[in-house]
Amino acid sequence: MIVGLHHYLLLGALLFCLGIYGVIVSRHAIRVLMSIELLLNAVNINLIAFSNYVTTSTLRGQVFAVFIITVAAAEAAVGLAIVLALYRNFRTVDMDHYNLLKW
Amino acid sequence: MAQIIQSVVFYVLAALLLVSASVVVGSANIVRSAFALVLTFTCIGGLYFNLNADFVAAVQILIYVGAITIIMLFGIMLTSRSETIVEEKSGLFIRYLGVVPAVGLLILLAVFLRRAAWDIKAATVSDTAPVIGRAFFNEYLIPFEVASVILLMAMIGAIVLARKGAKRT
Repeated sequence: MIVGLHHYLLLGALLFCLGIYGVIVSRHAIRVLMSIELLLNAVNINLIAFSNYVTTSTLRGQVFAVFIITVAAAEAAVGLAIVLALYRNFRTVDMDHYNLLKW
Repeated sequence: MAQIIQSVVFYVLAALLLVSASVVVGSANIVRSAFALVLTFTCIGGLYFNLNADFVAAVQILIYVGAITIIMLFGIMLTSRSETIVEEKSGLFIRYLGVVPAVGLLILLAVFLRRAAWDIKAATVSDTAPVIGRAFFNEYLIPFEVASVILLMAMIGAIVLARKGAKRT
């Protein structure tokens, strides 16, 4: 079967929903960060698929994807620094113990 | 012939990708999740090659596999003392509840992406790096500069947040 645009979009949607599930369900703070990276990669798959099938001359999707990779790298670094600071204060990375904002 | 190869590569990489992404979100062991994440990023890089995006595929493997997984593994190493290893998963209720928005969103996306009338053009295979480079310096110059400022801010922020003795009066 010839692979078309909607195959890639469906794959991106599946990966995005796996990432959403991971963000909701994970107890380990670093696994939440990994699921966020899955979300960003799913969006990147969509953009590159669009660049290949729709905007083939200007490659806008690929330029956008490079920006998303940049921002994702910056966000992963800052997120892990936050997790390290949290670990230093709480002695755990269990998200169920980060409940200081609960009333 | 090329289309058959593209299809086979797509299905193999997509299957491997979905399996390893499931291991990332579902495994109890966080180190296994991190290594499954490496496999996920590599499969996505392979899919980019399949989509004629050679430069972005190389960037994906360099940045994601080469840097972000390393930083994740360092984060796991620095936050796992033997008495605080989180090995248990969330309760069954939360796991079942988490399936609901994920599956709902999947159904919504699948229905609408099937119905949309995408304006599909023929793929042109070319060297993407010069085109992307020219786009960075002509049409997307301001986002390019802003991205470098973002990276500088992230570097400063990460250093300030993660250093020891950060108590100030």
